[in-house]
Amino acid sequence: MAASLRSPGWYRAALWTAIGFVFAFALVVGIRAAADFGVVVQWDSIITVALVTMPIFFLYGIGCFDTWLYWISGRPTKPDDHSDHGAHSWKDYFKVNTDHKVIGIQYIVTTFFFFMIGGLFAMIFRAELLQPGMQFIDAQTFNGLFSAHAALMIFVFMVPVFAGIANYVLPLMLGAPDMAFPRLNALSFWFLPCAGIMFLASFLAPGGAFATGWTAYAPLSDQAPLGQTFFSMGVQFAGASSIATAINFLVTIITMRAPGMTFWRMPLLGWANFATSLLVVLATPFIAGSQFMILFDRALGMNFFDAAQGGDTVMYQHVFWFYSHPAVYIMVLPGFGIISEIISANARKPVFGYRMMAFSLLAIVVLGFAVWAHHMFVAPMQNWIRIPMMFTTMLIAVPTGVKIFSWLGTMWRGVIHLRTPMIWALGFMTMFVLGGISGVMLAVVPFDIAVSDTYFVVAHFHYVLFGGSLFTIFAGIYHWFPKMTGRMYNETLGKWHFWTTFIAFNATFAPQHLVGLEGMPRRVADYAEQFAAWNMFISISSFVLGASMLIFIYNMVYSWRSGPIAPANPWNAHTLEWQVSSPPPIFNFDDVPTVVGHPYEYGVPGARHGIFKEPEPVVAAVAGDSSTTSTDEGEPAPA
Amino acid sequence: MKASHRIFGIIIAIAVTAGLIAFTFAYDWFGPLIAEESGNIDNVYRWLLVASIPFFVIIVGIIAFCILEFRADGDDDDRDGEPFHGSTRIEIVWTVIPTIIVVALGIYAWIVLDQVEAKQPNELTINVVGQQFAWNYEYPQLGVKTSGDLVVPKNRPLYFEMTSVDVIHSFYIPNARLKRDTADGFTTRLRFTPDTTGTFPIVCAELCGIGHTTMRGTLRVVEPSEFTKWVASRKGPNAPKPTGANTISPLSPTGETGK
Repeated sequence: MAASLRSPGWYRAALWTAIGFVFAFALVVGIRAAADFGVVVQWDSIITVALVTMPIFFLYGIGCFDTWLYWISGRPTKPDDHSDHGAHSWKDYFKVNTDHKVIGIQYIVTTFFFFMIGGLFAMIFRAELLQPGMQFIDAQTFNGLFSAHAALMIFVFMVPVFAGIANYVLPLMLGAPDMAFPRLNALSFWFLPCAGIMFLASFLAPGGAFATGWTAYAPLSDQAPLGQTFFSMGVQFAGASSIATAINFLVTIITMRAPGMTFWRMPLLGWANFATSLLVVLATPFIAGSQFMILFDRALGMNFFDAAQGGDTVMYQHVFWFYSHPAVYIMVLPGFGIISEIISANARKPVFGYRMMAFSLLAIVVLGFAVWAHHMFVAPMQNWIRIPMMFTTMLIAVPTGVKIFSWLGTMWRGVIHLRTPMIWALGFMTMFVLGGISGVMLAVVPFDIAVSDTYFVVAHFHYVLFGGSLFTIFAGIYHWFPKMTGRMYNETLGKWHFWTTFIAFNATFAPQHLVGLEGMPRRVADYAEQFAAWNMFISISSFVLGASMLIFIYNMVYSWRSGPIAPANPWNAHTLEWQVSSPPPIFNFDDVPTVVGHPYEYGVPGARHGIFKEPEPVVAAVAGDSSTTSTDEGEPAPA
Repeated sequence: MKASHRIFGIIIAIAVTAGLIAFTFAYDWFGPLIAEESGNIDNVYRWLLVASIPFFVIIVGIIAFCILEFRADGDDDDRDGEPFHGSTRIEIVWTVIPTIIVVALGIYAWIVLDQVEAKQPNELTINVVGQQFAWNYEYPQLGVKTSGDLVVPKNRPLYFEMTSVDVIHSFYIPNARLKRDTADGFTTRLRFTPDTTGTFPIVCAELCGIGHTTMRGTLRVVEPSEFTKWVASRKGPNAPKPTGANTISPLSPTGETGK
């Protein structure tokens, strides 16, 4: 027992989490006693400090810092033989592991756990909204549920699940043995459960969960009960996770591409994660800052947002949205990359306008930073700034449209295989166009003044994030499921999952446009009689939508256990991850591949993307090289 | 696919586009409109839809066409598609045309915005103060204070100067298509001219705490003569004092006009 308390693992994690609490208690009580405060044991302060110490001590206990601490203290570190790579039983997924493939699966499973809870919260408050009047939860619980729903979905599902998929796929796609910083990668993952559990634990706080929405507008959040602190701190951990992963992706993409893989030979998923990671690194510090200011207001009385003390409530919104608008692109650009891979492989066609696809991603990154105030058209902001923000927001439709049209061009005269990932990709395109259209509408100031903060906005961002991002996540998970697990998913169940989700999704969110236009505000637990019929329809549809996820979970669990064995390359795709076994070898590539051409040269005679030394004689490699030179530059300079 | 089928498909696409555009103008999206300036907000919405519908129909139509025309013959079909990589000409087209459309719509919206927010002669000023969880009103030109029901005369331009004593609220009149946040330390402004008598809901659109759901009031638009009587009744010796307390009105259905 003593040995297991000393070595990294769950026993030591539990012990150190408890020590973290004791430390916080002693620190606060000690300082208050030394400073002669009246009340020495002040629980709000103790818990606020414990929310910092307990996760950090937990991370030490589970083993995230061991190598670094050994190195810092001059003790011999474990030889870097990566002997702990790979997962040999399900238990290995509950340990700190530096293998990007293990971390990718840890990410995906953990984020889907929080996704299911977030969805359950939505179904609970939809049950409350089934009929007008207050039925079975009170206003505080209602506000807590929709706040936690959004916090879980955004911070511990949508943002990190893309990091999980990319974690698994990207190093393989780039021909790299792992991410650039494997230990940082492990730490990024373990931040996530800390954040998610903090959001959930807020329901146990006195005064209830944080109930100010995921936007946590000041000064409401300044005055909210203790649960708000759980949100402020949870965002810090989720944000730290995002930033660390983004740095890891950037360094991996810039430095660890296989020989011959220039940026213009990189698969678009690599481009998409490059663009996303730039956004994360530049923007995430702003939400961290906004929540620290709330925390300092609450814990230290700093009056950032107290107008009576010279504070400025609108500044909060500027800082918050300077992250939270780019966050929308953080939650969709990786999906664009996934869709490019899937449409190209399932339509057997080169991606139409590859370079414009990459440039449009970068255009969205740049424009994405110049639109944040469109969330504040009805806020007390200078009137003039609404006009430039309206134009930049509307112009984002242009690079986004380029992507949609290029996907259509990719399908044109292809040979289209309607497998489950492709169906999700096509579902994504139709739904995302609707979300994009309502997005352009909301950018238009006079119309936004009418429908801002109504259900029209709720409908819009669910079309973007559910019909858009989540559909790409499902597409990606089905597409790479054979690679990740070594087994095939069930096509029939996959299609059932798509159609039930697609229909229930539209039934849930399309009518929300209508009630929003008629003036039903968002975030209300009760509504006027005129909205009753649609709300009942929406609530019932949302239950069907929730139930449709069970098909997905069943398909994943069943297929992972006993699906048919997957071949190395079931889709006959060209990118590097499909050229190794399913699942890949522990170190990805027994031989480092050499990239000699574009990743999507379907139908181009003799074209190769990557070649491996062993199976291919050197002569063939040279031949492949020369045969691709014509196609190599043929596409990037379209005539 | 036969040529006749393609023509049939194009006819369907045009018919669907025309049908959706007709529906855009025929359907009552918003409920009764009581502000003459805001009619153009409804028009902006309709023109945005008109501009968007062709894009949606084209995209969905091409997806449907590709599925019908280019579908593989079963999983064993190992053919590849036609390996073309792009076309500069068409890429320029689908970059430039949407740019022109969104800029044109933006300019139109800018013009409408200026017109909606334009200052007007003979405005009746109303100071609005949001608090958790009620709206308080003051008519500085008339020396009247009230809360709960907001009574205004028909056809007189209204000018709201708004603030808040605690958290952020949002003063939202769905039938006027207008809202603006109120925040402590800021004064926000709103203008419109009610042109229909009746009672209409006023709701708080910004989450303001536990009572956000119940922060609702009523806008009562009356004939000018009735408004004069109402003002007199508020100024007499027996005038009721504004309570300033939480005055929750029952949920009133939108658009019970008194015409």
